[in-house]
Amino acid sequence: MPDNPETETPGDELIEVAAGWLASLDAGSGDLRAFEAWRDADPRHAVAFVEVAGAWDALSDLKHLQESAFEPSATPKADDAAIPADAAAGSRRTLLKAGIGIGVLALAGGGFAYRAAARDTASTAIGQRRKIAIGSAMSVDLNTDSKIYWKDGTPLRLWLERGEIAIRLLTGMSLSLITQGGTFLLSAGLYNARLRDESCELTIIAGQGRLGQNRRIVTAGETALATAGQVSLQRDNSDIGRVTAWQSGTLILNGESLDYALAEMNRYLEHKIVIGDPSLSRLRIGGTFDTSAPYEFLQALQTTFAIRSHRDGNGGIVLTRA
Amino acid sequence: MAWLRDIDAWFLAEVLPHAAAYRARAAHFCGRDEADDIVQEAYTRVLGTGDFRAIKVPRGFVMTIVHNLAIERLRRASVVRIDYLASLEVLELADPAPDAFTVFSARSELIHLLKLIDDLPPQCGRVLHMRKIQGMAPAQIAATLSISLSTVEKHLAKGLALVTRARRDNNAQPEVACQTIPKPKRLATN
Repeated sequence: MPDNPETETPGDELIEVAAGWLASLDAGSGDLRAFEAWRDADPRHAVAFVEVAGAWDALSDLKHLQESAFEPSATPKADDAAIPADAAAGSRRTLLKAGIGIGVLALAGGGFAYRAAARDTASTAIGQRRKIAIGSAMSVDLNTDSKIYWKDGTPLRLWLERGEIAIRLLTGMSLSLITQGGTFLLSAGLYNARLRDESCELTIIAGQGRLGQNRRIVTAGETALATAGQVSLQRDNSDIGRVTAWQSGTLILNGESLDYALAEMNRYLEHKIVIGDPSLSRLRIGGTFDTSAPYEFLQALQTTFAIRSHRDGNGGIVLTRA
Repeated sequence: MAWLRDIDAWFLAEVLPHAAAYRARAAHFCGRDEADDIVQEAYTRVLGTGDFRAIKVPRGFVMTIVHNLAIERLRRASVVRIDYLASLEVLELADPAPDAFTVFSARSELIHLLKLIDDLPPQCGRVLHMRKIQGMAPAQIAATLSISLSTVEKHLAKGLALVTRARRDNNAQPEVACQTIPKPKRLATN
């Protein structure tokens, strides 16, 4: 610690230390007594910590604001590359000043412009499910680890940013569903949309739609896979129940490989299940499983195939032959 | 937050919101460069107070400390602008109403914060966003981004430090309001 408080400039490094404490306390890895000892050692420490706590609180208030400022940019990866961390830090002050200027200008222009550009958003964490009513015309169910944006207008616009959703659209409404695979135009009906790699898989349970300018109308019972604006179709009516099973918290397997089963199950689990013995991956699994109770799934593996499970150091679950 | 003492919570609610006013007052005497220093010193004195509950008007209390610290420094300084010294007593009364300093409304503060997060290094901003806006637990963030919990912590700490410092800078903005302090009478009559 510096011995000469007279010459020490206030705080930048103290702010960093205090922020480090708060982050570790927040993550549950910080030692509370060590923290208290640090804070009580010097009132400047206490000041720095309160300032950091103030920023932490203020950030919490952002939850209540529209998330529009966080609309993902079209090329997030390019962004990453464009701002090397060091360069960004070096010019931070300049950036901040510029930021303040922009903020003030936006305000002078009025809150309306801001609001008009805003999209509403909803998301779920891993293992969560959530139902959102959007106006009186549409409701959306979000499966685990999903995120959507939407915006009023004609047609109503809905962005599927991550994960999987079920859409219920009332009569007389049309919807533009914007995904990484392409944009679907949908009429009233029931739909299930799921992102897979670079594509979006849209299953029409009721209603109809088409992808972009494609002439081919996708009808009930069909599943359209959209990739880079191109669509491929398949029809398998027996699949509909499986596609929508997640809405009741279940996973239906019908002879899929254990690999596939785990990939599906893991979508709902923070601590993923992995195969510890490669020879297991080709086992075929059937049954209906509760996605919120991986224990039952593991139990079934144990009783049916004598597959054992144990936790690894990071909380993940590893499957091996008994 | 469980890790805040009563005095910290009080400080957060009653003292810190007027940061811009303290800073303006300090800057008026000693210039911007020293203003932060003075305000920080005042803060440490306030947080060092045992019976904070006895302080009826926290803002005025801190303003007085800032004022006294600033004058102390001014007197020690080798070169002093004479009009400042002449005006010291008069300024004792010249704390503008808080309104003069509440330039940034709650909403603009939030917009400013959004902008700040946007300007953070990408991964850092992403983690802060997931934690504070999406409300994800640190462990969840680690799993989602396939990074370790301690990396999540580092990103959070870094982002939080940058935001804290930027808020300080932001508080410095309304300094201009200080120009409205009336000219000292003594100068006028002399």
